[in-house]
Amino acid sequence: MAPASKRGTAKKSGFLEEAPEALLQAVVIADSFNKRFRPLTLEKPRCLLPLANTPIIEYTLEFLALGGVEEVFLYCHAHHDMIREYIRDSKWSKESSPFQIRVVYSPSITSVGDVMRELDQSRLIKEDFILVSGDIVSNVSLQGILKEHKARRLADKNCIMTTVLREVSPNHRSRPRGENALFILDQNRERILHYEYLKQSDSESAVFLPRELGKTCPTMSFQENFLDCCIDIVSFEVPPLFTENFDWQHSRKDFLHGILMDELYGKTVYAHILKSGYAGRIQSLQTYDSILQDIIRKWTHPFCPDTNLDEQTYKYTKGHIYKESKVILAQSAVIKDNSIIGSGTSVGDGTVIAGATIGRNCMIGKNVELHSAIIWDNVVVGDNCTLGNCVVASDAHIGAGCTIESGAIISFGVAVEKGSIVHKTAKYTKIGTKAEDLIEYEDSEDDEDEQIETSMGGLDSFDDEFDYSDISDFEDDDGETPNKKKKLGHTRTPSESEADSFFREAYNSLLGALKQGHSVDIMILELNGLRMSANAEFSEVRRATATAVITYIISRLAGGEVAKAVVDEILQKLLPLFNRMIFEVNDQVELLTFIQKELSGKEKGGVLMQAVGMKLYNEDLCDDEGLLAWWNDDNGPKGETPEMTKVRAGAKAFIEWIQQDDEEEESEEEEDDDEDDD
Amino acid sequence: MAIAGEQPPALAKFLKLVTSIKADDATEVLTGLLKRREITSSRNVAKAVAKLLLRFVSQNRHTKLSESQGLIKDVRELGRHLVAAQPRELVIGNIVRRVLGVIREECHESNALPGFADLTLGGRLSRASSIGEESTDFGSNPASGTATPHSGRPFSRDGGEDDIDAMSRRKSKAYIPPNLRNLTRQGSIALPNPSYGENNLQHALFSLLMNSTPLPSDSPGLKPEAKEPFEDKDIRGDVIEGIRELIDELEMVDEQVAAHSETHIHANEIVMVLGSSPTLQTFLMKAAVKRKFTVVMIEAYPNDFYETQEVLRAPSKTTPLVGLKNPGKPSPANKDEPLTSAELKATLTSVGVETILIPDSAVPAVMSRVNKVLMGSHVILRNGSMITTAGARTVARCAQEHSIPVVVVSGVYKLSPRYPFDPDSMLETGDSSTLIGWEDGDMVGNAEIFNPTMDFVPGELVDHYITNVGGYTPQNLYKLVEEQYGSVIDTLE
Repeated sequence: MAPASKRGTAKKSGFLEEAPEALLQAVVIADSFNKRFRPLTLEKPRCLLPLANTPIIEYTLEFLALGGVEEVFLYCHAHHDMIREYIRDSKWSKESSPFQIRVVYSPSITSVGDVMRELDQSRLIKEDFILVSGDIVSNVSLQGILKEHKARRLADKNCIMTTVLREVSPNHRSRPRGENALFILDQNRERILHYEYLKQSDSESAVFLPRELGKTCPTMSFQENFLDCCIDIVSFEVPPLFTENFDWQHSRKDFLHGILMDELYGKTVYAHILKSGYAGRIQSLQTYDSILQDIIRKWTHPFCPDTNLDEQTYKYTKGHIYKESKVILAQSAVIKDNSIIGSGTSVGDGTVIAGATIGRNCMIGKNVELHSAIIWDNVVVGDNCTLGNCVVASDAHIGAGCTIESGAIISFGVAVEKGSIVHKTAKYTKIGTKAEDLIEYEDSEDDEDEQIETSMGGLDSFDDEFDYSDISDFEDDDGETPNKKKKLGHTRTPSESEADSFFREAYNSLLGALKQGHSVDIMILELNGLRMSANAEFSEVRRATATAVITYIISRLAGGEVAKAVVDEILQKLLPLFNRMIFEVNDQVELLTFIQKELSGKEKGGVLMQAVGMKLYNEDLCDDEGLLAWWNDDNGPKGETPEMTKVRAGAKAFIEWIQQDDEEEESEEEEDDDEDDD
Repeated sequence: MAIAGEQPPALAKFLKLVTSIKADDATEVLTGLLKRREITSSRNVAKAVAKLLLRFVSQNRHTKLSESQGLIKDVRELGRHLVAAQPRELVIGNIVRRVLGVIREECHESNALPGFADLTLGGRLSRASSIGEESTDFGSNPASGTATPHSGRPFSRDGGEDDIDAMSRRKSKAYIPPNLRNLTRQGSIALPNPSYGENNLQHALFSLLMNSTPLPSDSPGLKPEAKEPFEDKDIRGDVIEGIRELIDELEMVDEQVAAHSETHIHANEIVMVLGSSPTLQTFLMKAAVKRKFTVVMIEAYPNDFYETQEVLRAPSKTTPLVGLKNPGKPSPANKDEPLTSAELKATLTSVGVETILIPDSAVPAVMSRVNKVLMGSHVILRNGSMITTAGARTVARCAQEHSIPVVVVSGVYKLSPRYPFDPDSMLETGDSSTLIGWEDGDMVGNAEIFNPTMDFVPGELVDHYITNVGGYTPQNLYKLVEEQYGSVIDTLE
């Protein structure tokens, strides 16, 4: 990305005259942190999936450009390299782009909360900014909303956020199924007093409101009919709040709910209820489908296929039919209303395309029926197929005579054998297989919601209830073996995932504290808080601490400092912390093993191991019993990688010295014993 | 003397920005703005494109007369790019073509130096060779100046060469043998190649002398004066001047059109008005200075109704209303004098025009009472048809039924040389949510909604076009097209 100075001089001067204050910044979170688009997102991040044959992120960026945004930070996690590459090659990185865009990747981002904490640390934000996710489709101009927000900020210093909401009728197709939110607004319907996340399944359950609410606001408006598109204008005070509350993950369920529940903050949040214009967020396959329909039907004007956002050549013809140039249609092919056909696609005789979206260079055979099917690029559909409202990803091959029911997903490059029938819950992907054999990626979630949703038919059926789990699309690709049937929702047992999330949080908070040089008391406090809230084992605490400390040491070493001195300095500072997690010999062994594991494969691993061991020994955190137990514990054991052995070897000299020492002591002890016996 | 605030913020921003960044970047910026529809309406688009072209020409590396083909090519390329960005704003193509015309004109005029007056062909020859896209041996090998089929090639391939011919013929009205080229082909004349070097020139002259074929008597290019070295003039300044004039024209167009108002609106007439363009507003305001008449305004719901009401409600933004009857105060004869607040506030209603606002559906009912139908336009096409606010066709058809004249006021910059082979593709379909709120779940997804924002009105339904260069009937519009763009056809689409 171009450095700020380079662009800032010539280009922005025009803008600067208009607004002498800071640039209008926007933060785009290009990761959904959920798995609703599996298995498609195994290969491509959600924001790059085509929506009406244009990558989803384009709509978001156009929306920001329309809003006059001048600087964009794109936070990504899953497939960050693909996103980075895409942005680099797109028009947005050119000199002429209306804003400067910077792609930020951090492996520690696993939720919106993490992004905000990251943002707080990076200190990139100086003014109120726009927070959106990378899957927004909207034609609303932000200028008016910003103006309102600024006026409100002047009047009410505690106003920290304006969120954009849209009122919709209860059975609107764009409402995300399976999740809902209750907003309680004041009488003018401006201020949000309370937010409650609702699940459709437990609509019977009670909602607890703060007692003071009734006193301060005698008139309240309870509304459940909002479509929350997650377009927020956020004050620069918000990222620090996330840092304070390291357990906040989700911007709504945790942050909005938390900040309104807790009187102590005294912050206020306002709602901007849209009266015109379009705003939608692709939260699930169901909303993907409904937003696609809206785009085709010109609700999102000017962001429609015939605007050719992505340098296409779409032309609009009556009946909301969009055709690119170089489409080959057989004479007897029928194109019905609300269809999109990309360039290079050929359609065979007798084929009926009814409201389908077809990408580029597809081959549609003869007598095929496509009913609202969504087909991406380079797909081959054999003769006599029938496709319902399903998604067929790029490079897929569907043999002749297939029937694909509404709701099925055929992921990238999958070949469906001829004559097969694909059921509505089927999700096929190629990922994880060597040969052409398919894996059925089935959603075997069998709870009530699923039943309800399936009955709605079509793409509606895919709402994964267990969204907002803090696992990103990318996260657990490595750990699991995708060769077998997998559940979409929970693959891990709850305790496992809790432990994991505790580890991640503890690790992040410790590392952050170390980097910012917080005092050890604060770290202990934080860690304790985290441990209690997650009900984590001390073993987890040790693991997190070891990992964080070693990571920090290594980062310091990269600056060229002397290993021994750094280790001494850091550990000296952290002594009280270690003191609180080591109680017996086994703990010492565990801690050392974690440290060893962490050091494995690192440069100077051995040296560091020795330095750490010595320091711990000198400070009486580890006694020789523990050290030796560690030394002997996995000496030549199973599960030790060669790298770990290398690390261990580094500490050899030190251990030998201890062994000697120990032997001497032992003999002394024996003498003592003897004396005692006497 | 436009009053600020008329432009949308995006346009104002762009006009400011365009002077400070590279032309290529500005092109991309404008492309984005056009795609996002941040700049709409023919006037605003025309202004933005003209400003961009001004920047583009002033930064283009082709400045010399000899490189004008390169400049033409670049501008045409830019035009194609912009037209592709927003194919429904036909005015983009108009402005680009106008600028191309300006360049060609400059080429011709600069060429018409003493002694070179009729050597256009020779001048062009050297230019063609200097671009390097045609056979390179023109400059180096003067022998090629002698007539061979080879020498005719560049012209037959590059349409731009013919353009100059056409332009020059039209502008100078002087007689130039139409088929000089043919003569060369036949080998009857040798071509001097007045290139930069003396050598070349001498060679050229030499080859001329060698060629003993008698020259046509009206080809005085070979007089001794031609010995002067070919002066490769810098045409950039002149082209920029031409574009400035075009931009001025865009500013002035309303008043120029309004100058015709008195002859078209008579006392006590009832005029039905459709459209919300500033041209139309100025036209009515100007007429109101001298005449008492009634305006029946068509609402144009839902896409244009707000703007239509603005025409009645808001003060005219473009006319200084010189000569407006202003009780108590003499009208400011001096244009530099700031406008009085009364003048700024002057609206159609406040100047004494009786205004009636009717819904679109009432048009047939009211039509019989009306003397004249007045419309604005989005774009006028070569064959006399036009594209304008949705609903116009119904109104025009209804007027025809009642034999009521339909008069269209428009700047000549909206006149496009394109022919409407597929009028549907020129019309825009707008936002569905102007018809029905998107929040209405019962309608969204169940009812199909179409909201065309433009209407195609065939030439038969229009009686008269009033432009800033005079009045035309649809049948005679092609003449105006010729006048504006020459016989050159630049394919930009």
